[in-house]
Amino acid sequence: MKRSSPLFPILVVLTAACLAALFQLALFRAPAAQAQAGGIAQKIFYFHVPSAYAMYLAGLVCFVGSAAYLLKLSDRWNAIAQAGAEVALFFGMVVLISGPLWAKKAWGVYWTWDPRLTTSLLTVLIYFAIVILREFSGKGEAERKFAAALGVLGTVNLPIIHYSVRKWGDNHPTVIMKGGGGLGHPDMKLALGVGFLAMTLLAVVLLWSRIRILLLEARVERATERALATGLTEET
Amino acid sequence: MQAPAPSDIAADPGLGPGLNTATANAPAAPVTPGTPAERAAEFVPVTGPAAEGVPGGVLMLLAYFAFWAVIFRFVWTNHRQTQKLQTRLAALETALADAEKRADDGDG
Repeated sequence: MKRSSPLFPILVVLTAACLAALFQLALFRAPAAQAQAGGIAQKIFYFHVPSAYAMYLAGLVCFVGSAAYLLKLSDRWNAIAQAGAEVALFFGMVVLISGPLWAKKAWGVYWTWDPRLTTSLLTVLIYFAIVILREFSGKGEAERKFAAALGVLGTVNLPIIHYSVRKWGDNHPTVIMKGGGGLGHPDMKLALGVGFLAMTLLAVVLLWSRIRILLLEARVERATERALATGLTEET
Repeated sequence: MQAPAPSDIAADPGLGPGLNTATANAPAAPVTPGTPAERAAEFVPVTGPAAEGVPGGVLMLLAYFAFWAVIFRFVWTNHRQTQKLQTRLAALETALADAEKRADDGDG
């Protein structure tokens, strides 16, 4: 069996340390924001925004993997495309769970159909569709190609989400965007910076582990095909 | 404990506009706010801040808990899937090696 890279456990430990630092900074060190921004609930921001960024990152991996699979049809690119979609769905779920909890305090409602929320939901639904399609429609080449095509199209939506706020405007805070007022305290900036680092590392760890598992799954499939060709059955 | 006077309750902003209006319009003598009869006799719908009193700390902790729950779920599923696949692959490779050996012995 192939030995795993020694870099992976180091990366896992580094990610865990960064996540621990993020929660220490966000919960205990960064001051609470003004009541209009949600008061203490604004602390959700320190992992909500980095999670949205990590969703873009994983979406990009899904796009690259999907496009490369359509060109080369290899197990490796298929695994990268699938892992990208799964990790994008993971971070998308984090964004969609944490956002409404913050919104309840800042806006008074859990959900509103503004452009950014709607397009974010649409993106998560696209990645959900890719994951479900790959899980339940079989492992044939046609299904893989269809899922890869969906992965390419799903990524087209990401820039739309990013620019939707500027184009259409909405309730979303613009503190870290061009023209925004920024974060009013050095500890707030530090917590957000550590948040971005932690989510980047977490995305890399999750992508790496999913790719490894999916490649292992491909090896099991090949071994099963060889076993069936040799005349072995489940009993033997 | 002494019950607060109706005028004090009507002036309390924490009780919301519904109760303020109700106590302000009611005749002075029969009003006994805070009694079990008043709390249970009727439910009056309220909107605005009085109806949305979820503490921010609870929402924040819920969000962080959900984040960790999603991570642990993902890691646990990965761990179980890896173990299952490694067991299956080891069994398949052993069976294939045995089959090849039997075939070689048969040829020889």
